[in-house]
Amino acid sequence: MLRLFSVFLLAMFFALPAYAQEAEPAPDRSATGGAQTLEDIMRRQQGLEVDNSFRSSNTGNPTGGASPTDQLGTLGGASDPDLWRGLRFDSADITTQIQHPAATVLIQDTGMWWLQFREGPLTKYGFGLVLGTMALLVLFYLIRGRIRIDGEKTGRKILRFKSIERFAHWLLAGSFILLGLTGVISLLGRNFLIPALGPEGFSTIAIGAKWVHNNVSWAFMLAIVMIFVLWVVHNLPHRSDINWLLKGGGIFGGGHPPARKFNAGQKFIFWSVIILGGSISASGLSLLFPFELPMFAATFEKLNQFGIPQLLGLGELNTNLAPHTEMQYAQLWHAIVSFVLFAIVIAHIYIGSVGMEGAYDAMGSGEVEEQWAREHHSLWVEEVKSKEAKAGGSS
Amino acid sequence: MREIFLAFAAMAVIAFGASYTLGEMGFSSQDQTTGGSVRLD
Ligand code: HEM
Repeated sequence: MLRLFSVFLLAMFFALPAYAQEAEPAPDRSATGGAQTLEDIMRRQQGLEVDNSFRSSNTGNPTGGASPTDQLGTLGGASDPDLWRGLRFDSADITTQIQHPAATVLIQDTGMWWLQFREGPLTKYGFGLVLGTMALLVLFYLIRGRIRIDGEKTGRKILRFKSIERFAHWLLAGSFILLGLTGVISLLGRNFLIPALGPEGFSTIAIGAKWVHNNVSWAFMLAIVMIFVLWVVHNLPHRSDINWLLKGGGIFGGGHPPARKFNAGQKFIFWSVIILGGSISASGLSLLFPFELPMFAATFEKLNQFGIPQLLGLGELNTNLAPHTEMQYAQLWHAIVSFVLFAIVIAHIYIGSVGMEGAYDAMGSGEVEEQWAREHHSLWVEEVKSKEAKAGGSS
Repeated sequence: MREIFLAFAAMAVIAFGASYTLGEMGFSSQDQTTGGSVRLD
């Protein structure tokens, strides 16, 4: 279900630019002397694409006016509307003290769909996904209850995660949750928090949230690298994963399918964190250093080369992206992937805490009840025991 | 439990460290967006 939804989001994400490119036949503008018509206005009100080519280059002729020193001379060959059109279509001659690549873009005509998508579907479906996952987990808890240790407890403990592993896990968990909360504050600010807290109240929170989000991101990136290095060997595919998956992990009965250190479900969590977390980090860096690390035009180019968008019926993706458009894609991608990873991680938090007896100890003290380990990771227990026996035998 | 506190402490150290270092390296938005003729602080 989750995967289906993420595919849907992905498809929507790629469909948007294609939608924006659809061209309509140019309407007859002779009645308005070439200016916009009632039809243009109606189309815009209906949210349809308006072809602006009839006016985008209509920005006056600065050298065409009569000299101001002549009798009845003008103040130049460009009127105010000409100037505004120049600003809107990014052809005005701008100089500014501000020093970044897109500093002279004062109006971004192509940015409205981004604004509307961010405040509309992104927020709605993003929270829908997260809240829906929470509701499913509550339902799961009501039906299945807490997964108990079936057998008799032995009282013996096995070391499951070393100190450095637990440290890396909590660095990842702490930073991810903090980034999630502060990210949501930025996303909901204008529409939900300013009305509730007022501009001044929200401003204080927004400045704090932004500082935390920008700087704690480094802890998250470090934790992802640590987790990858520490656990990748335990997360490579193994024969036992197929059986584990076929038995649904034994979640709804059917015994405990054997598993090594990590079962197939946990491998899914691990690779989600690495791949989606890595992608969130990449788009996050692009947002952290505005306009310096554009990634989407290059990504679209690669996708086009592999023919992926063509396969999905989207045609070639536009690879000629303006600096602001790059940032807007980065923002959307960052938020969409974060929502998806959050939904996955909520399920993980559930099963690692209230959902399963004995699981939390693995990340708490690092030592688990031997019976728990035998039920959930029988192959791993065998490995540990045989290593211990070898070490004992050789000493 | 100790690892949780250590991780949270590390998070704070990394965050303040990142903010300070990036600021010193000239990555503050003030530094990034003002022209050469503007004197900051
Ligand atoms: C704050 C609540 C959390 C709790 C109580 C928790 C608990 C646990 C536990 C008990 C394990 C070990 C499972 C085992 O022994 O097999 C684990 C593993 C793991 N955790 Fe967490 N965790 C939390 C948050 C997170 C977050 C936010 C992330 C990532 C963003 C994360 C990523 C992982 C990964 C990748 C593993 C290894 C794979 C797996 O066991 O699924 N955890 N967690």
